[in-house]
Amino acid sequence: MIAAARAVLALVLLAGFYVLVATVVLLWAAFLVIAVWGAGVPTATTPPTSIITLCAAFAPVVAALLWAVVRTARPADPHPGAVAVPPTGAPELWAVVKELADAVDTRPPGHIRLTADVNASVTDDAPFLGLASGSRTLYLGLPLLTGLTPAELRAVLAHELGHFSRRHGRFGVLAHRGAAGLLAARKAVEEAAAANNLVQMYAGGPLFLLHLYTRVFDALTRPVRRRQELEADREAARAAGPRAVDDALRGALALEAAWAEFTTAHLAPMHRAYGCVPDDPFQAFGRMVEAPELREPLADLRQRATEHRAGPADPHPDLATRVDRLARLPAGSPPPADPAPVSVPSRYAVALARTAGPPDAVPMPWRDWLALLAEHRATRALAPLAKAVRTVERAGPEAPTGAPPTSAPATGAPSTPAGLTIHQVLRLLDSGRRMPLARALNDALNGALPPSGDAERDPLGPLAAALATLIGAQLVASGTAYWAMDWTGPGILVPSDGTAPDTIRDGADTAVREPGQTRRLGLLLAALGVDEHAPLRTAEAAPPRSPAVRTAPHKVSIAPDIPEPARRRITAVRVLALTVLLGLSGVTYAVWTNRDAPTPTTNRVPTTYETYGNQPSYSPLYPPPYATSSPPTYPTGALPTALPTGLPTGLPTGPPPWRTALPRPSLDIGSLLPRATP
Amino acid sequence: MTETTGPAELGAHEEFDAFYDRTYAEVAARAVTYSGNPQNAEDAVQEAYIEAMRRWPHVRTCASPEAWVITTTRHKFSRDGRRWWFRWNPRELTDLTVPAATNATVEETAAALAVLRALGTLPQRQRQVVVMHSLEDMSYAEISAELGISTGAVGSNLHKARARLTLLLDLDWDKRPQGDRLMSADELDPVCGALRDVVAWLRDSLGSDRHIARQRQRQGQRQRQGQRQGLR
Repeated sequence: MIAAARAVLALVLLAGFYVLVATVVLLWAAFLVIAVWGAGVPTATTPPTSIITLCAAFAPVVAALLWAVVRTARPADPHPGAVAVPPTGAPELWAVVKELADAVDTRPPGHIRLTADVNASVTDDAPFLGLASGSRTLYLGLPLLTGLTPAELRAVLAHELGHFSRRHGRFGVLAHRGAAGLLAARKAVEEAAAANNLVQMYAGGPLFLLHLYTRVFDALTRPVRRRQELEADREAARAAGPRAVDDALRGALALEAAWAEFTTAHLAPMHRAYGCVPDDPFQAFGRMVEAPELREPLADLRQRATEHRAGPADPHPDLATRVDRLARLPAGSPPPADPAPVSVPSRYAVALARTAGPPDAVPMPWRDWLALLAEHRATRALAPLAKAVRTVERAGPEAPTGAPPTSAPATGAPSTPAGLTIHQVLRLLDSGRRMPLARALNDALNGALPPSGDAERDPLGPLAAALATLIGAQLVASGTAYWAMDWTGPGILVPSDGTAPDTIRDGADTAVREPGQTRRLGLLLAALGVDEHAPLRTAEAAPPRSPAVRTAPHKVSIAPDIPEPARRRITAVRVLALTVLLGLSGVTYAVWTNRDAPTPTTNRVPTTYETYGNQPSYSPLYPPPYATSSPPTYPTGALPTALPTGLPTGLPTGPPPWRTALPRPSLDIGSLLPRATP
Repeated sequence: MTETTGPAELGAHEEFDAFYDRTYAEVAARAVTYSGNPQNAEDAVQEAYIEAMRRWPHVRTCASPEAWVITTTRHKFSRDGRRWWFRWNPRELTDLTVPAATNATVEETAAALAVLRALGTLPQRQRQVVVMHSLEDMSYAEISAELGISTGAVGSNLHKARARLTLLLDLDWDKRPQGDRLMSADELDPVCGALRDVVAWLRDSLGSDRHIARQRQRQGQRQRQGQRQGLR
């Protein structure tokens, strides 16, 4: 009963939107007719220019509205970046979806598509203006698939399928259709208004109507939609257990933050630095989520997920409300204790990464990418160290003896650590220039890395860490150690032959903090088999690199310019408005000139009349034939009082009134003025 | 050489140099975004830094000396904006080029250039208002006080600028499928995000450019020194 009432409400609101659009279109058509008809009225002195302008300005608005209706009335195109998974491709996932669809009492979706969002959604591309039930699609974000536990994933799927359960009826589909149509219409009209100043002058009315109707629509549908979210949560709790739904909601929010961190702090910098991306970034993301150093921050995110507030236009209730309702549910039948993990074959993830990722990036195996990332993060401090060493050497009291450091930057990029040796650093430390070096390093680090307050308290700390990293890089280059990934800080050096990594760090620390103690570090290096005179080889040549990334610095123009797609849209709006303006002007002008074919007599009479008109005693001599032209058709009421209006008509067809109407004002004033002066 | 100089004893001059090095790219990037003319921006930024150096004891105690310089730069433009000859802006006579960022991908460069060029088509007032509001997070009252226009004019300029940018850059079409989702995603305002990306790109481009310029300067100095030594 409630479902039927809601469906009727949504249907009425959707119909209201179509009626609104139809009204605007009909009004526009009516104005067109009025423009042509008004020009044909015998009393018209000019073609109706204001109505013509109005029609021209409204033409793009009407086109935009119609386009929005057509766009949302037909089944929506699938998500452009989504990859479809057929039932044969991922039988496990399909089996779980079918089982859960049975559990929430609906039929399984027709398609499953994978996306790169940290979200899941279901659509029903209902044909026939949203009235019939069409094919259903389940969109599932791969970060959720790799980051959630199997029980949580089942809860997410059950929630989405719960939107199709019988109790929800047709409301959701119709409400979505209406909301999408209203949004598309508003955007399209706003765009047309921004593209053309004439349209902007007239678009206020339709926009106001649309805004008003959107408010009404939202106010009526949002409470129902929020309640339906809670109902879908309840369905999911019935199928997967309330505990799992709670975990899934918090987990999805935490994963959203983690995925944002992954893309901005790891994917994008690596793409920028090396021009490569992992072929399966979701596996790499899975590694990140499982990392022990991130367990605590993620748990904290889950804990604080209930602080997330829903926006005013959000169809979802606050997470705190959802969690609270879930906690009140009875536990019910226990969900399957340990559901089997669901996975999707890697080829779909690879295909998705290729379509959703940057087009010019070179994909590389994700394990290699992780190793490269670990090295990249570990050796970030080396370029600033090399820069600082160069700065201090150049500014030093004695002329630098080593020729390579001064000649190196002239050829390469400004910040490559290539050619840096441990010996250079140790020599600076020995010659008592550790404070200038530490200061130069901190300045260089400030630009390259996010600033931390540690450098203020402990200016020598970064230098010690950078020296340890340099030693580590030499060890890695010689093949006796590797970098282990640390997702929160720089990478950790793992020596292979049982040497504790602390030995190197302590040695570097002692050498930096205690003047004159570099000899001990030299001994340690000799024991490790590191040549302190060996120049550092950078790993930048190894990874694949797209040639377009690194080009010689050149100037690019930022002169004002309009992008090509926008230019096309602006031109389209302009052409439409101009076509209507010119076409309608032509038609109305033709109608106006031909509205009443003037006879030869009517042409001659006014000229004879003009001769009388020059005399002051003209108005009493107003000839009767002209008075016989039917008085109600005079546009002005300023008829001379002496005029016999009720006379029987001597001539059946008088001259057209516009001829007589034109000279009349001057005549009236002329006759009035002498009377006023005495 | 003794090792007694701690961070607390850094000379004011050196401290200002470090501050300049650290903040120049950010300040210059914001200035270019605000004014649209790299040369005017460079001039205004240099003037603001000279001003900051003159009042360094006061500026360094500010909560954010960087913000002080940015605001001073903007005031310079706002003052210029009230003069009539500033309105006459012959585009073809000025050099409207910036160095390409060496550290950005091709798409990032293309996107940043598209935004900068689209910003160039806006009238100066609209550009100032949208940058102040979306990038500097200033309120209507602050903007109206700084530009000397009413808050209503701020709102109207902002609306026009945002609508125009949205049209030109095709910013906020919702391309996702409409459907029942698990939760609503938090989305940054697209105009705001585009402007932030532009500043990041410009920071990269102007920072690397300055680095290269300095290197050339140093090389030139070295060559001159070598010539002098050779003459002796």
